[in-house]
Amino acid sequence: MMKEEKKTFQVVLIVAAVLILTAFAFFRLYQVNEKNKKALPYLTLGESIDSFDLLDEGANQTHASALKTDRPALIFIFSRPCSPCEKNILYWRKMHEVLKDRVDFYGIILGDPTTAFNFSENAKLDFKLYIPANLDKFIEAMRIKLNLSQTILYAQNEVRYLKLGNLEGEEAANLINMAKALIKI
Amino acid sequence: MGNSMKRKKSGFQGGSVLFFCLMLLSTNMFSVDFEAIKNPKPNMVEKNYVALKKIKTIDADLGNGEYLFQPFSLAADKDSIYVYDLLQAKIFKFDPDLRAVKKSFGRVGAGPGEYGGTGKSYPVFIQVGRDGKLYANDTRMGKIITFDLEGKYLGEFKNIKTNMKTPVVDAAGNLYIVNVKDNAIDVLNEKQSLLFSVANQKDSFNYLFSLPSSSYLTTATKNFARDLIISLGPDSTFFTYFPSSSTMMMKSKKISKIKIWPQEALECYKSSLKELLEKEKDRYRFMFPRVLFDEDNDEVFLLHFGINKKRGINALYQVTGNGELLKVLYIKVEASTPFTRFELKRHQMFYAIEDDKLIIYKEEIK
Repeated sequence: MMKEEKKTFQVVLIVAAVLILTAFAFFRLYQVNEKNKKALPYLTLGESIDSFDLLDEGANQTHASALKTDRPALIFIFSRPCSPCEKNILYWRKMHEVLKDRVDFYGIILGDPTTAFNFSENAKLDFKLYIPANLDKFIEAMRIKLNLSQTILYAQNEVRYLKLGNLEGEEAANLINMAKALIKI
Repeated sequence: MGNSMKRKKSGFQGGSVLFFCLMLLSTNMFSVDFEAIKNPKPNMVEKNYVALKKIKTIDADLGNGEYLFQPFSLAADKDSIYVYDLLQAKIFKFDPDLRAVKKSFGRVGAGPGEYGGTGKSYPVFIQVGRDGKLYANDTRMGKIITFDLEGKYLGEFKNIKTNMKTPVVDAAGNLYIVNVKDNAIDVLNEKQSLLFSVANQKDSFNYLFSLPSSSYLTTATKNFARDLIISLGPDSTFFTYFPSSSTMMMKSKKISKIKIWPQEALECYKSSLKELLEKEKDRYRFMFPRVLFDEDNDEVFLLHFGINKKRGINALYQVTGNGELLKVLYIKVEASTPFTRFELKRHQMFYAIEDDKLIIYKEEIK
């Protein structure tokens, strides 16, 4: 009897050890994965965005924690000159028209304030535009390597959609539908 | 002008001398002589001005996960309106009030039934032919795609060498295209064989008041088709509008030419043209750059004047095929107002595009 109990104890011990090791291995894998993700030259789906500060036209500062609300946010990053940005502006304008009351919009321009805000006037964008308070920190947080247009849907602290460069009509329509679905959640 | 002649495709098999002589002869035949009309005399007086009232602006969100991003070209049949979206390369079929989308179809690509190729935007001009099919002219790919009115792909005309925009098709399914090379209008059957040509339109190629710059004219000669607007009435009556001289040619059993020179429009046009040429000498504008064929009444045309600065209006002239000015329809404009481009008149409604918005206007009842 004692022998059988000892054997059972040993089995339990081994199973527990295997479970602990497996859990540890998964934890390490997760850690490595997260580390590798951060090492990629751009954001990936499911990631959260590190904090950064933005300035609006009146030099008012907004903290990126504003992104961490329940409302989904659409973030458009663009620079001048950038031909995909100019085409994407047409879609961004339409996205704002459809989703303006239900989604937060951040148009973030990489460039000096004068050029940036003059440009916004010509582009006839109805949402608020910002420039990064600290460009280096912003580039690090968003991991921007190219001066390309980026369209990001961010909700519940996660990147839900990300597109570098030109959007296509169907993608833009799908993105609006995706944002609408997140609003319902 | 307007001589309709049968022309057969034939290859040259003679000697080089004969070929050279023929080349010289054809160059001379199809050369375009430009002339400014010194003192155009108005044959119409504007008396009846009728305001247009905005009755609806179409939301970008059409419901059921469909969106209208950039309306570009419109067409109509008896119970539907078709709208082509430039950014999605998609045709939406609406009810006449544009309340509900009945269907959407079309996609980007280079295959059969697809348009736009790999460009950044996809300019496609649509029209319902007299044969009851929907035609989509893909100007970038040089093809005209045929759909039935439910969006089913039926076929396409390929390698179309014209820069004409709106496709024109008669009841037998024959396609009318402007042949840039010969300054003629060619009629092709469904197999793209040439049936006949309405040839050499040169003597209507005059300009009101002053000639454009020589560089503009060089381009104009090459882009003859750009300046012509053609359409078919019932019984295959064939209309050609020459914007440079503001003349409508109507060809049924006989050919008639009507000068559309309304008094006030001529005055306004003269001063705005002068202003434009002083600022940018290589640019030019026509008195009526656009013509709509009233789809409620085959006898009536709508000539879009654009902005009349004196009155502060965007004006649309309603003229019959016999040259009678019925009324001037207008919307009030201010400096900040986006330009309204009228695209279609059907079901007693005027469908227009302002920036990226689709708008319906109706005549205001006093």
